[in-house]
Amino acid sequence: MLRKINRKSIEIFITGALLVAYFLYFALFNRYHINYQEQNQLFLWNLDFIKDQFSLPGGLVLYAGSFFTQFFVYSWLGAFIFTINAFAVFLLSSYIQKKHGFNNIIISFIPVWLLTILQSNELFIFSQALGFLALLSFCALYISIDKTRIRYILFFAGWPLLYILAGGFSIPAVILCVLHELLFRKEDRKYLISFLFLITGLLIPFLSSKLIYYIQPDKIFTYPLILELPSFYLYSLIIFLIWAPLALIISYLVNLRIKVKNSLLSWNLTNVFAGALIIVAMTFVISRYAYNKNADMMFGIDHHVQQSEWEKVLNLSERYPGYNTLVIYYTNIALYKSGQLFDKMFFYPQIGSRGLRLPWARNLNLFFGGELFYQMSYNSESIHWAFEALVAKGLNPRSLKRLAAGFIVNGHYDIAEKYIAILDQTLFYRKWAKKYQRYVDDPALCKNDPELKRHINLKTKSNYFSEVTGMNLPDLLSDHPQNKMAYHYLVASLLLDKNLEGFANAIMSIGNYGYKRLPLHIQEALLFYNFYEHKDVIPEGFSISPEVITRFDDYATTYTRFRTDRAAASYALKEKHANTYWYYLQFINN
Amino acid sequence: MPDFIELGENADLYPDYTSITIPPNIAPLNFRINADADKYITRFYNSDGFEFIISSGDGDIEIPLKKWENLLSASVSKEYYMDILIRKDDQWQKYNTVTNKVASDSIDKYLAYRLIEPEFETWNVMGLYQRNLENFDETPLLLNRVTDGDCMNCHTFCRNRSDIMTFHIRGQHAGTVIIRDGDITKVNTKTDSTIAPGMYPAWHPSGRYIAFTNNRIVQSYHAIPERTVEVYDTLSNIIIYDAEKNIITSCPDLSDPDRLETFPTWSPDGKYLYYCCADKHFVKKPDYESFMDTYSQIRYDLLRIAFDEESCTFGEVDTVLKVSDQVCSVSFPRISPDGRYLLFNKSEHGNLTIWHPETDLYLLDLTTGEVSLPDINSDKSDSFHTWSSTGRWIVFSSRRDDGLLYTKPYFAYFDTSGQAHKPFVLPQKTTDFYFKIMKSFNLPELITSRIEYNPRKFAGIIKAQAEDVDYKSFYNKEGE
Repeated sequence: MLRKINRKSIEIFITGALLVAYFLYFALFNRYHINYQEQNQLFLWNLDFIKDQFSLPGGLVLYAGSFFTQFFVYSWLGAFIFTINAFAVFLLSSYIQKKHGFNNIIISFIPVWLLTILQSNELFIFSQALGFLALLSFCALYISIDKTRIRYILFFAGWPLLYILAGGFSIPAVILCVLHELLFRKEDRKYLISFLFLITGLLIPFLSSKLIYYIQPDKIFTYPLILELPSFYLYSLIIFLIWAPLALIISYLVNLRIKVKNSLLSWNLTNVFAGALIIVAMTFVISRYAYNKNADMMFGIDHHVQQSEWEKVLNLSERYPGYNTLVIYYTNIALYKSGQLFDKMFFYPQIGSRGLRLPWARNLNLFFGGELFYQMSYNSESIHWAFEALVAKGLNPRSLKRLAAGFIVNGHYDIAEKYIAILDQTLFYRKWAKKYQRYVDDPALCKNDPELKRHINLKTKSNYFSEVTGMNLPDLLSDHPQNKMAYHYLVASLLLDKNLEGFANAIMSIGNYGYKRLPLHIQEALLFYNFYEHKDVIPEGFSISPEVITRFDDYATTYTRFRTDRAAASYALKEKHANTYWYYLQFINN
Repeated sequence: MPDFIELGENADLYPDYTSITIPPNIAPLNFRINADADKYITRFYNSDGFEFIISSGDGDIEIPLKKWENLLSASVSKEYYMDILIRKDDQWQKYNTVTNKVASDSIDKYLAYRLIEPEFETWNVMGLYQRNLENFDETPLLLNRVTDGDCMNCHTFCRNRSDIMTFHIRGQHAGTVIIRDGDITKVNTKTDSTIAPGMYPAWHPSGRYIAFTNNRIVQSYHAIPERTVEVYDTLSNIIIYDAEKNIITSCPDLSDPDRLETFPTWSPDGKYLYYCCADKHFVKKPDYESFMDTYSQIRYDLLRIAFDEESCTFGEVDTVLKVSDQVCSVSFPRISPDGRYLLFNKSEHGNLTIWHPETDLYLLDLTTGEVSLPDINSDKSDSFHTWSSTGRWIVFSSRRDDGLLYTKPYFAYFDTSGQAHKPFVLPQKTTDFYFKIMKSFNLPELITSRIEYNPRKFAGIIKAQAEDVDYKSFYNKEGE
């Protein structure tokens, strides 16, 4: 009895510990993945949304997935939902194993482990996890029924329903049910029934594609499974899907060898050690192959940009290893917004003016790339990018917010209202929608909103075409010389492109932008330019500090010492001067 | 009807279904009464004593189909009336009576259109649909979820017939799908001698030839709030596809390297091809830095060229309407089935003028050469129009409601005296339909009967390899 209690207690303890670890892994290490997934969808409380989700097989998992994903606005809540789902998967998996005479905590945890791997990738959205849950739920229900006739009825009536609700996730259920019949049941008709199960599994998707759904023939057995995953995750997904039937075969084989079964299931030191080793191996696979720390940091930067938490953006950016265009792009925005662009931009990796703007491309750039134009009050271009992102991604809160704000700024209130009305049907953006609806109802209130007020003040008056690769900075400044961000980005782009002549011209008007002293990198660039061109260009009322001159002397002395050996000069200067404009100018090749 | 007081003002309805002329076979014109009130009723009646009342708690007046059909059939060639009442503070108040006319001319039963997000470059979910105008049934013809997400565009019919149509697929399964005499084919209209696949198709009335624009398109984006995208051609010719011989040809006048020829349309007798033509010197070497200054000088005139159907040869070119010497440009010419009127777009410049807010529909009387501005335009873009098979109805795309983005199909009655009546938007089952929809109605085309295709039927041909067409040079042996 004591042994039994101890075993149960240990099982509960291990399960609990693993689930706590599961929660912490997502809450602490994948928190921004969770936030990012929320940004890519929009759950709406209306009938049209339900109809839309159910227009293809798998409607329920899509609908429920979107429902739960809306809560990922809080990453800890997302991690909790992940964990509840994982626990349900574990219980169902364990139940199925137990019913087939081979209940082992490690075996039951394998689907949870695979889920951990898959959910580490932002492309594996929550509806996919729910699809698997639906599959296991059906299988558990099926095998729980001992009465043969009722079990058959459940399959022939219930599986088509499962196909409608879970789409491609229902296919492994057919295999599992067939294996259950063939390997674990003794009815005379089991071969016939198994054959009919298979026929049903083929016929229902085929018929539904001919009668109910407009769907590509190559997707009738898979939709809404997302197969466009990096190879490691794709292999994990395949194993994930075939795991339940595979576990049944394993159970069958193990049951044939009672000795083996007993040795595997008994609680002894060897098994505990082996189990621990397996858990360690699983953890290693997750940390080595599934977890993408850089991606999470990148999504974190994106998250904090959306929250206008500029210092948090810079903190993450400092920790980000190597060069990443998106990170650099966001870092520069954060530097400007926190008033540090000209003092700190070369403390961070730079890749020329390409790091100021994302290239136009039909990919994620659309989603991220409009931020610059929004912040810069280049309203038509902000709308342009937000609209394209909305089209490419489907309804998402970020694009809708940008569009609503953009059309309010432009005075197109009817269009803005359309987007606000959508956000008003959500749980977490309703408050935002109410606020912006007030601006639509009474545009005079916009002046109480500093951001909208700024955009309205900088609304474009004279027409020009948007540049395909540039930012129309001279156009923006010609239209509104007071556009401070446009001015900063113009100067920054000249510095980044090493156009010192252009920089020297542009910097003369820095006094118009509220500066009381010349920022560090501006001083560095001016000093270099004056030295190199034998000029004395200094904007009126400003000076170059003695400290900067002293550092430049040191830089120049070291540089001169290694004049003939650039590699050595770079090495020697990097330690003390890597964060200077001089070093960027002379040693960073973009 | 309860006791009421007269308000002496017009009700604010959305859509605006007031003082309009409607066909006797149109779906119920449901509308919303924009007024704060506790209750709303609308009494529909005609001079023969036929009447019914619809009441509403939220201002949405949704008319049962049967009652509506009875009202229309009892009011053909006559007027019907709407008394709109609201109850506020326990007092019924009545707006001015609305009077609408029911024409004796039916409208073609179906409307085909593409539903697509209105803006810019990217596409995702789109489809071609047909809508039964006598009720609210909308069925998809083709959805790009069965075509690996490919784009589809330029659906066009021959003389409003649903059994002769064409449309393009762009992307992985590119090609032009042609349905003709019960056959469905997919051809690749890009040849070594042409600059691009065909665009903007126009069926010859015989159903044998299709004229296409063959162009290279550029898109640019305006900075000012009043405008969005500017679409223009840097190269443009017109080609003719012979569906019987599977060949493409053209002629020097339709392929002038110094000019941009586009938007072909046939006269109903098939003897002339009308098209728009602009001088190309502005865009010969487009300098995109300064193109803002020059693109606005691209202005199209309306020309026509004689065509011999038997030999598939072209004759002389006439200038039908010259506007390029003013600040004007012609686009989308469409001729009425009786051959008398040509409806076209006029804008300040350019060709894809649906993006120009100043674009209006103009009417050219081909017998007198007189140009008039029918009273169907708004101060926003009114474009992309087609005639019904009888010539008594016009459908066009308008951005009048939101002013910038989402186009909606509007219908206008065109009476025998050549007068166009106040237009009305395609009726919908729910009154908030247009507020909710996130797509534009693109290229509305009236067709007389149902198209017997659906996405499943189209899926096979879409994925089939497009058959290459041959190019037949229009030069003779001497190279003249």
